[in-house]
Amino acid sequence: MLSVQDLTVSVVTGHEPLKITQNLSFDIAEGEILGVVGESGCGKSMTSLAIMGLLPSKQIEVQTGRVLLGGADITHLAPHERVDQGVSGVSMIFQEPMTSLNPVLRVGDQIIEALMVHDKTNGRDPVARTRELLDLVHIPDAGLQMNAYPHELSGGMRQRIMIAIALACNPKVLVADEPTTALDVTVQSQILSLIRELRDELSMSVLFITHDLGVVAQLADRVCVMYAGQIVETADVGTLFENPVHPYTHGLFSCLPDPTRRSELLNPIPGQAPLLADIPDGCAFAPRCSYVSDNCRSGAIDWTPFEPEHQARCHHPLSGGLKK
Amino acid sequence: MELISSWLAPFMKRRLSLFGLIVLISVIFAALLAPFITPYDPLAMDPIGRLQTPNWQHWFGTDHFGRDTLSRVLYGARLALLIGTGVVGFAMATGVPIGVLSVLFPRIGNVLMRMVDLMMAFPALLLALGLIVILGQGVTNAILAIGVVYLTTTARITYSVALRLKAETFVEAGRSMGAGTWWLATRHIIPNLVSPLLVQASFVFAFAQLGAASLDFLGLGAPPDIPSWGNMLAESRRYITRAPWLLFFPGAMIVLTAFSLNLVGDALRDRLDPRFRDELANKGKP
Amino acid sequence: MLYNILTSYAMRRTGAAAVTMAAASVIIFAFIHLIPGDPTYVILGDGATPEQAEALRIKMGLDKPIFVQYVTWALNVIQGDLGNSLFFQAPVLEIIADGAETSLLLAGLTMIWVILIGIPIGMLAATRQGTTVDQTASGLAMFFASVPTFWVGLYLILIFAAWLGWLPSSGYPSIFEEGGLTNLRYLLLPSLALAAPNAALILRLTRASMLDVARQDYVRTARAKGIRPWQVTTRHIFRNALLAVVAAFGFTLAGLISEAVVTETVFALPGIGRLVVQSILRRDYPVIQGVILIIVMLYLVINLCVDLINRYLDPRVELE
Repeated sequence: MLSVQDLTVSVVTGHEPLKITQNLSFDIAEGEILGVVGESGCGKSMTSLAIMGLLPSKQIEVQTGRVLLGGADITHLAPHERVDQGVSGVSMIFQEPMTSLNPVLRVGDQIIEALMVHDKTNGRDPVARTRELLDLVHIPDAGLQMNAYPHELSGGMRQRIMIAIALACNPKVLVADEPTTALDVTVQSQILSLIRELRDELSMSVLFITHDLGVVAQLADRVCVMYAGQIVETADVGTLFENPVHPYTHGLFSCLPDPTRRSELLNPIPGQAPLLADIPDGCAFAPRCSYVSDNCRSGAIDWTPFEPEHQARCHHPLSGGLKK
Repeated sequence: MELISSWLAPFMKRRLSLFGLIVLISVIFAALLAPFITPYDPLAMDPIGRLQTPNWQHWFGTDHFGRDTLSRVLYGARLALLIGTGVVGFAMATGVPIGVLSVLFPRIGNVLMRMVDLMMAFPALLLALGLIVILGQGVTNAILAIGVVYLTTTARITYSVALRLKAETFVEAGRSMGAGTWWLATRHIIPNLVSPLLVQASFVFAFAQLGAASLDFLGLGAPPDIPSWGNMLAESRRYITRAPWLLFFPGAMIVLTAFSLNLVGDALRDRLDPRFRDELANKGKP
Repeated sequence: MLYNILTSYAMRRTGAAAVTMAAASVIIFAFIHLIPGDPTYVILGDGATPEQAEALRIKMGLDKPIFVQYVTWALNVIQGDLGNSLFFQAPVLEIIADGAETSLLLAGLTMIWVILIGIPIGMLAATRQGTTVDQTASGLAMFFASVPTFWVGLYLILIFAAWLGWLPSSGYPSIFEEGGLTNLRYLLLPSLALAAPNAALILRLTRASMLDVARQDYVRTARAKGIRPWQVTTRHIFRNALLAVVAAFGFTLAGLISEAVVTETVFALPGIGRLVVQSILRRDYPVIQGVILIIVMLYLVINLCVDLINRYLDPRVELE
C-alpha cells in the first residue's frame, strides 16, 4: 500500500546538504502495522513528515527517492496538492496532543474542516459524520464534546480527536509519530488498542513511530530499526524480539533494565549517536560497534537476509538470540 | 575577542542592522566631538545672514536669527545623547533594583509591583507632563520625568525575567546547595538580566529621544536658549514655507538617531534568540 | 454557560479597574499639593496678598485635613463637578466636553488608519517572509516607528496644505456645524500623522505574531488535513495571531490619547490634548487635574474593554 523507495531527506544549507535519512526503503502492506524504532534524532520524524508532504521548511527537502501510495507517486506533493490529484490517502497524528489542535476553534469544527476537504462528494451531513467519528474513537457524549474547545479536554481525549481528524480524511495509511509518548501509561494503552481496533475494522495500514520497544511489542506486526538515518534491521515483531541480529538492535534490548537482575550494572551502548554533519561512511554504527571490522567503515552495506521477512544490514550479524 | 565577535554577528547578518550601528556610532562621535568640529558658535546670531538656504558657508543653512543650523544640530546631538543616557541610566538604576527586589522578597515585591502598575495606569506622555508641571521645566527635569515613565517598563521587564529565572532549575539547584539569597542574586539572576536589559536600554534610549523632542517642542523641556532638536523644530514652525530646511535637518536627526537605536536594539534582540544563537554556534561546521 | 463566565470575569475585571481608578485618583488629587509652594500662591501667583491667599484657602477648603479634602473632592468628581477653570471661569467638565468631539474623532480616525494599514501589510509581510516585499515593509515599519508624530505632521502641512493646498492645516470646525461631515477633512492630516508610528508598530506586531503562530504544531495539523494554504493562513494562523494584536490595541489607543497632545498642538485643533498643553502653560491647575483624571479613566476603560474582547476571542483565558 505504502512504498518508500530510496528516500533521502536532506537539509540544504549553503554548504553541502546534510542527509537526515539515507536511501531509506520499506513497504507497508494493506492493513499492516509497521513499527519504526530508533532513538531521538535518528530521522524517523522527518521520514514521517516527508511521507506526508509536510517537511517543515524550504531548506529540508527530499533529495532522492520516492514515496508511493498504492502505486501513485506522492513524493513532492503537499497535502492540498494530493487532495487535488486524488491521492490523499495518508493521514498523520502527532506526538504532542496538547499543542496540535487549534485553541480557538471547537474540536467539532476542526473535524468538520477535514471532512469538508475529503468527503465532499458524499453528501452526508457533516455533523452526523463527525458524531460517528467521535463514537469511532470512543469519545463519550459526542454531541456535547463536539462543541468543546481543546483546552477543555484531557491529553488522551485530544489525541482521540486527532485520530478522528485523521480518520475524517479517509486514510489508507495512518502515520503515527510517537502519539503516546506524551501520555500517561494507562491512556497510552487505550490509544494503542484504539489504533489496533481501527486497523481491524477499516483495514487501515499504520506506520507507527516510537522509541519505546514495549509499545512496539504491543502493537506492531513488523518492525524496522533505524539508526542515524538508515534502517539497520527489519523483521516480524516476534522474530525481532527473540533474535535480533544487528549489534545496534542487540544493544537496544540489552540496555533495558532487567528487574530480576538488580545488582548488575546497566548496559548502555557506548558512545553517542553522530551529529548530522559527522555521519561516517559505510555503516553509521561502526564507531560504536564492538564487532566492527575494516569493511564496515566504507561502502554501502548490503542487506543480509535471514529467514523470510528478517534482514539486517551488517557484516557481523549476531546469532544466538538475546542473552538470558 | 570571541565575545565581541558573537555580539557583532547579528549586525553582519543584515545590512540594515549594520547601517543602524554605523549611523549610531556616527551620531555619538558627532555629539562627543561637537565643540571641536562645529564651524560656528551655535548661539551666535547674525541678523544679516538670516534664513539662508544651505550653501557652502552654511551646509545646513541658517535660521531666523542667523544661527548656523549645522552647528546647532551638532550641539543638539550632545543634548540628545545626554538625555538618552540620563533617561536610560535613571530607568535602569531605579527599575532594575525594584524588579529584582520584588522577585527576591515577594511580600514587598507585591506592593512594589502594584505601585508600578499604578504608575502605568497613566499614559506615558501624560505622566511625563504631570511630572514636568510639578518639577518645572528644564533638561534635568525632562530627564527625570521621562526616566520615571521608563522606570516602570524596566521594572516590569526585570521582574518578569527575574521571576522566570527564579523558577529555573538552576536556581533550585543553587538553593539546594545552600546558596543564600544575595549570592543567587549576584551570581545567577543579575548576569542573566544583562542581555534583555541591554536590548531594553536601546529601545528606551530611542523612546527617550522622541519623548524629549516632544517635550522640547511643546516648550516644556529644554529652555529655548539651549540648542535641541525639538526646540529647533518648534522654532521652525513659523518659517516652514520660507525655510523648509529648518524643518528637515533637526527632524531628520531625531529620526536617524531613533531609527538606528531601534535597528541596533532589534539586532541585539536577535542575538538573544536561542535559535539564532544555535546558528552562530554551528557556523564553524560544514 | 459562556454568558455566566463572561459576566463574572467581567465583573472581576471591572472591580479591579475601579480600584486602580480610585488609587490613581488619590495621586491626581495630591497633584496640586505636590507642586512646590503653597497651593494658594501657586494658583494666585506670587503677587497675591495674604488676605487673598487666606480667602482662597478657606474657599477651596484647604484649611481642612487632607483626608477630608480628598473625600470632598472625590465626591464632587463622582457627581461630575471637577471644579472651575482658573482661566475661563467656567466648570472644568464643560471645557473638557468642548474638546471631546475633536479628540475622539481624531483618535477614531487614526485607529481606522492604523488597522487598515498595519494589519493587512503585516499579514502580507509575514506570508512573504524574507522576500523583498517583507524586507521593504519591515524596514519602512521600523522607520516610521522612529519618527516623531509632530515632524510627520509638519511635513504633511508643508506638502499638502502649504504647497499643494489640498487640505487645511489647522483648526477644526465641528461636524455639527456648517460643512457637516466634510469638516472631517480637517482631521485627515493630523490623523495620518498620528497613525504613522502606530500603524508601523501594529504592522510589526502582526507580522511577528503571525510568524510565531505559524510555527505552532496546530498549524501543521491544519496543513495535514489538506486544506488550501489561504485557509490555513486565515482560519488558523491569522485567527490566533490576532489575539496578540488586539491586546496591543488597548495600549495603542491609549497611547494615542497622549500622543494626540502634540499633534493637536501642531495642527491647532481645539481638542483635549491642546487643552492640556495650554493649561500647563497657563498654570490652570484645576483643568490639568480634570483632564488627567478623565484621560486616566478613559485609559482604564479602554484597557478593560480590550481585556473583555480578548476573553471573548480567546477561549483559553482562564478565570483566576
